[in-house]
Amino acid sequence: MGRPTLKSTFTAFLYLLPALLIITVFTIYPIIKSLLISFYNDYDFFQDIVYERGIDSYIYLWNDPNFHLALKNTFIFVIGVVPCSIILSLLIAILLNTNIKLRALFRTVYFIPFVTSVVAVSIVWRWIFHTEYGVLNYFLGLFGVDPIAWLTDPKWAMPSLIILSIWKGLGYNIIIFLAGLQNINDQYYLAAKIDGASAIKRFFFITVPLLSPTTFFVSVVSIIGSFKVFDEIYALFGGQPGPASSALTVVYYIFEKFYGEWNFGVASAAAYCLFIIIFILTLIQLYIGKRKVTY
Amino acid sequence: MKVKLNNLSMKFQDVVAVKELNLSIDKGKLVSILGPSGCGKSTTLYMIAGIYKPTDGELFFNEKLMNGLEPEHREIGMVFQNYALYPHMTVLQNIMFPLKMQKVPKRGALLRAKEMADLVQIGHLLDRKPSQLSGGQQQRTAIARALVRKPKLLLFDEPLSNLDARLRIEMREEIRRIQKELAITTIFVTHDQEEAMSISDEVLLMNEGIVQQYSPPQEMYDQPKNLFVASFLGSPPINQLKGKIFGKRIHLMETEQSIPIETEIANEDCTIAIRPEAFYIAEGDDFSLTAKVEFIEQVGRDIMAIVTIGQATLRAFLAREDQIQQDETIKLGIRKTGFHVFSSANEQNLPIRPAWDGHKN
Repeated sequence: MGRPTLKSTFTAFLYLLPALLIITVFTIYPIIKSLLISFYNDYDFFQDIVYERGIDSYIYLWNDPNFHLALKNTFIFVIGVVPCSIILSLLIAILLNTNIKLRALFRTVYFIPFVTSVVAVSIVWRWIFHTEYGVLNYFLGLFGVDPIAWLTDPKWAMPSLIILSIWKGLGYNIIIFLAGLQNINDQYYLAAKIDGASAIKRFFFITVPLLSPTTFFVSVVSIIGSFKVFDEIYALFGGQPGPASSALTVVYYIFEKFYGEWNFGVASAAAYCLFIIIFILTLIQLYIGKRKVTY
Repeated sequence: MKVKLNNLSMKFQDVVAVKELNLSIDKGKLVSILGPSGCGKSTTLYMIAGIYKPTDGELFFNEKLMNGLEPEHREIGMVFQNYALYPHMTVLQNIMFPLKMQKVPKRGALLRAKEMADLVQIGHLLDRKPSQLSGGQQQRTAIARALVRKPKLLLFDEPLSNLDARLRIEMREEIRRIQKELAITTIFVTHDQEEAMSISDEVLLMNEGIVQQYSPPQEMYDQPKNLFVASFLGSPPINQLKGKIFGKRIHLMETEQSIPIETEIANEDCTIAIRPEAFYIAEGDDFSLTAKVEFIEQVGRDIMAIVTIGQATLRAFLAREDQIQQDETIKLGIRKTGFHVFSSANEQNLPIRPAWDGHKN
């Protein structure tokens, strides 16, 4: 490989062009366009004429109780899903990393939810969550718990959604954690054993810190993923954001504004609010990560 | 602490890694386990550490049976081949880790860790992470960590193999110094004979899971029990010649030459092993071997002559003053200390005394 010449640069550019074109048209252009749209106060969608620009959309969001509800629900969802999902998948990954029988089978079983269509999965969970015929209420009934209206009671809609999302995301996190665990040299465990560390201490003093880069990656990806939750809601509650908007999240709000009310300005503004929130949270995570993930 | 191994064996599936090992190590001694790779030396160490559970036999520390005890309860310290320093902890945290696991109060632990760091001369590096240390410094940290808990037994698993030649010599002297200073029973696994010879009180030489010889290093070099021991020790390796014993002489195969000996054995095929440094130019001796010089190498203060006797090629260290020439035929005397005869049947050392009066011995 020598220095890039005009010719070699041009050749490389040709190779990059097809992908670049698609990304530009379907990703970069919409990102810029939606930023612009969020500042349209008055807009004729059919003739693409902007009568007035301003920050009306953002003011609308500031005052819209529905948007506030969506924000609140989204935060509850993220806080409900991410820590639980990380802890559960770490524990399962550690179990799968030990020498148990049928290890390969278990790995596949845990990964299946991740590669299955959300709609198909949600239909199964609608049955599981069903108030009268659902298997979940049946099991709870065995312990004397009265039937819970998982999907129709506003109080239980969000927990149902969280349970489904945790279950669905486990497989991916487990695979990442497994890879991380296998990267930890066995010698550290031997050394810790000789140094007198019990199994629990080995977990907290060796596994957890040495796995921190993986945990960091998983948490960033899951937080971003959880903020974007939409399909699960749409499928689980049959095209509704849960009973009494109890599962209305920001992306669902954007969807409703855009496709339901054709209020493109507000939808774009809400999208940018979500972007800013995720952006700030990721920056905070990067900052913490830099200080905690150091070796 | 005294360590005793009683018929200790280790099988992996159907491979026998260590077979019926008997060994007794006195308090405060440094014992090297030496052998080619795959000879079972690391397996033996891991069994003593408790990482492997022996499939048969008993292991005693001070008359106390240790077989079922987990490593964390054995009061041992261990230095691994790649040091296994915890990468997320500083040098100080690494050294303090065993104390932390023992719930030693922090003040005392800190003092103790610093004392150990000074002993291995890394007191100025306490705040560094292992990735910021050189190989030798990592090694010293690992030793400090192994020592900090005042273990009764210190184990080294090929600790010097990742260091460069100069540092290796420095570190092995350092290990010997620390071991002597603390008078701690130590087991040192290595495949490097020079390392084992230079620092050990006793050497255990293993091959294919079986003990070949257990004795002080010089004794092992001078009185090898079998051909494997003789050929494993020494660099360049010991010379080997095929021969047959009859009529108080060993007759060299495919030659007219023979070596006078005193023995009761007759009519036995044997292998004669002669150290390269045991040869000298014979002048007026009553016995010598006639050899043809094929090639001469200058090796510092000596010269090494590559000579042939019959079909066999031998190496001989000779003095520069001897002034031998290539293609010359020379008379080689043999010092008795470097002369051994082994049975061809079972490779054991044969009871044979040299019967010549060399002027150099």
